[in-house]
Amino acid sequence: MNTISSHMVGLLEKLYRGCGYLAALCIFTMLVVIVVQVVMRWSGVTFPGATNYAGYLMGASIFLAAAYTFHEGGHIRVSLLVERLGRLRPLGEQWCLLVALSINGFITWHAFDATYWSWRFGDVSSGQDAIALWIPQSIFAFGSLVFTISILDHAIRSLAILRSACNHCRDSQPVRNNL
Amino acid sequence: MDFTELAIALLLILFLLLGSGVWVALSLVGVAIVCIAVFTGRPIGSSMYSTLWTSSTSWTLTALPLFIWMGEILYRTRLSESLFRGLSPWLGWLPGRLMHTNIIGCTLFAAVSGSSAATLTTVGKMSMPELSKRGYSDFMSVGTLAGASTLGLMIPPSLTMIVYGVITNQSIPKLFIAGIIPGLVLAVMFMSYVVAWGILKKPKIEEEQPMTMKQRLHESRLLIPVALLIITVIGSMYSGLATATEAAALGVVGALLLAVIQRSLTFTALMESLMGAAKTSCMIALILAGASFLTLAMGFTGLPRGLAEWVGGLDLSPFMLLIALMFVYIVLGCFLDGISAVVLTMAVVTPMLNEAGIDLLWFGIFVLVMVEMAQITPPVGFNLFVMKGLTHYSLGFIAKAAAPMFLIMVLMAMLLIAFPDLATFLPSYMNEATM
Amino acid sequence: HADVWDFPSPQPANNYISENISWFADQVREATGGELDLRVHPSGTLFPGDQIKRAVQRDQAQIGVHVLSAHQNESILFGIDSVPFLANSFEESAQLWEVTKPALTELMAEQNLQLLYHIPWPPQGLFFDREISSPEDADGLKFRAYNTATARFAELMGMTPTLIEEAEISQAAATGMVQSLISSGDPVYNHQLWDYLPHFYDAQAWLVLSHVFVNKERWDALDEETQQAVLDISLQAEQRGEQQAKELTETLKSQLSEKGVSIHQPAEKLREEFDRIGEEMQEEWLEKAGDQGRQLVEEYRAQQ
Ligand code: NA
Ligand code: NA
Repeated sequence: MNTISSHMVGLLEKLYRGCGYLAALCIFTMLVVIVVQVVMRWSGVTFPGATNYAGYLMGASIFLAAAYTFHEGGHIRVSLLVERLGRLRPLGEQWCLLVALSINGFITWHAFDATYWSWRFGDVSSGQDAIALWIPQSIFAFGSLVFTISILDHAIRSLAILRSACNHCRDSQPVRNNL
Repeated sequence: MDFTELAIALLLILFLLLGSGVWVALSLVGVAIVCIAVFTGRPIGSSMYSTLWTSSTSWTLTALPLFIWMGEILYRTRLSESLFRGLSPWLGWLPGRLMHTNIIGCTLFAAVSGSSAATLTTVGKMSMPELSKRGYSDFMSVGTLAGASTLGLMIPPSLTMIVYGVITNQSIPKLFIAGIIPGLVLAVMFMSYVVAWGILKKPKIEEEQPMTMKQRLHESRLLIPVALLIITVIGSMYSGLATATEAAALGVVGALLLAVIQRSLTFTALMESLMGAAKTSCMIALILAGASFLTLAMGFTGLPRGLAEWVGGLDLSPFMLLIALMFVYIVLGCFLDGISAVVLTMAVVTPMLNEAGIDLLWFGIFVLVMVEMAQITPPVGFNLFVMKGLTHYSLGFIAKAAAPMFLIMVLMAMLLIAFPDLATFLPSYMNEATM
Repeated sequence: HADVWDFPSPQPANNYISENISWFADQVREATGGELDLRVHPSGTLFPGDQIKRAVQRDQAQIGVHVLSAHQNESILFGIDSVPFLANSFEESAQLWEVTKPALTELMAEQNLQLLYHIPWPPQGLFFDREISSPEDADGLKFRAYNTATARFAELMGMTPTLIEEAEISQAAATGMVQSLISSGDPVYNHQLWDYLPHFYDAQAWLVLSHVFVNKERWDALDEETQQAVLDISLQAEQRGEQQAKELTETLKSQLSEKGVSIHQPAEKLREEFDRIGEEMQEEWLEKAGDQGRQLVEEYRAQQ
């Protein structure tokens, strides 16, 4: 049981980190696209759709990096109240994670739904790239799915802490977790 | 729909989500969802998705991750240290000494970038650690950075001015020019605050070694690479080699080149800088996307427009009208990002201004001060969020540190009312010159 | 109780398009006794231009206005109003609209949209930073292209197409990154580009049309009486819009010349060049347009 869950944890961390690397790659590619566009303009050639591609790459990097950023504590929050909850803190954390999970689950659901309908309707970008929109949209959907998984992952871990806190109710000090 | 009821309900939900510690970007999305679900009959999911999608893939936003990456690169090279060593001989005589680098740095970088988040991360990433190391108060550092980085909106180029110019049919080049003097005046006011702090608080800062002029000039050679980088970026914009967005990419290339020349960037450091940029821009862009969804929700309810209409109905004198609008924008700016508040109300406000005989070009600069304020007012203040991402101080601490800067901006707004020439002098000269 | 519809427009409140739809909204409100309440959101406040069609399709907004030719990647038919020199006066544009309206209505219906009416923009002319007396003068100039068709136009003129987003256009013109562009004059006036592009050539290349459309489910849910009332008002708004565009064409010219722009009629050589480009681009368009597009153009040409 323990080895399975630690194996799972390892896999998930790899997933977040992997998505983080992909996000970094997107930013790097975005730089290349923009520089190529500038240099091509200097030499009197156009790069149709360059601004659209740069936009998609940025969107992809934002959503791919979301889970990694979350896992590393990079998304910001007002932690004043939660930190003052003392031994009730795990409960507070659980509330935050559940709210975050439902909001992000909602986003992910609609990201997949919208991507599916883009694909069904054959939606194309109105820019010069004229790309089928489901392609960049599916990266968005994938990124927000991984983000949801990471929130769920943290919620489950926090639940475990909450349970052990209840078990040791009598002799425990305020419980901290690393979120 | 009763607007008071609506406003109170929204406030409560916002405070509940933000206050209980739900991550900021998701809180904004959450409030918007509830707002649309309860107060309008519009489809939630699909409009949420379109807004998040449009906002996170917009071309003009691409400059943000690039400038953040540039900051991450500079932070990992010796450039930031040399910047301080180069500047310190010149600032030694001024009370507050190196604390002024925050403001000077932001003012210079404001001329490079069109957004305040980019200005803040780039300058803050370099200066915060150096100032801390030298024993300067973090409270002052945080406050001056959060405040002065809003100059990114006022000093050209400015994305916010472009948005304002397009909505109100004002010439964007003229708006750009109009922002220069007020931007510099604001910078001087921020510096006066630091001077006052230096005199009154007598902070314990390491004394720098006294230097001869020759030594000073010698130390200043360290400023050359940074100066070159800034000149490259600004030069590319004004010579027509690149658009304001593309200039960010040239800035990154320049920073990479400098790092390579200095041999201060290893592959690991390069990877770290990229990962850092991915993380920070993800955090900021998600909040921006959440804020634009909240803006859409507000647009559906008609709340900002209702507020502006209410002011219009009061039948005020031009001066009182400006004061009332300032109040409206401060309140809206607490919950929306400043330019969204302006966009949502402009259709109602423009006729009021025309009737009162207020020049729309001047009002653009006035409104820009309001937008700058909105960046540092809690609970939804963009620079506060970015600052928190940089330092891990609590939002309360950051907001408190930035409060004096907010007051300075209120003073600036009053100055603009008293001396409208501050904004209109340069553009009017531009008119005559081209006639 | 009243049905409230959100009505996004990409143009600012004082632009004639937004003014026209505000008038339309007022008339509809009055005619339906407030039962149908259209709330205009100008300046792209609710949805940016590119998103309006999709937003109305999915009922995020219920009615909207945008230029359909911006969506010609989806269906080439949407771009029929922007084929160079096919319909280059208000009269011809109106004829082309009459011919294409049934096909467009059908195409829109497939996308859950009901087409109501259209508003023409003033004819597209060319702005340059210098005087152009023969086609050679334009050789190698940097031309702002905003889609495939305008890029192709630049190529055929021997100019270099340059992609500049709307937000960056004034910086680009001020720094010489753009030396020429094609427009109805309205953006040039709004962005105050006259200092940088002081020569206007009244090429009358084509007339861009803005279209007003409703979510089809919303439309079908209205009773027949309301539908008829709205259609009647649409007709009036359409006539008003055309009148406004005609007046704007003249106002713009006088406003621009007041700002120091010289208004030129293209010299004969230039006119011939335009005709050549027009023929070539019309052929290219017809090749892509398939049977339906070809039929529509033939039908339209037969009326000339
Ligand atoms: Na700036
Ligand atoms: Na604020």
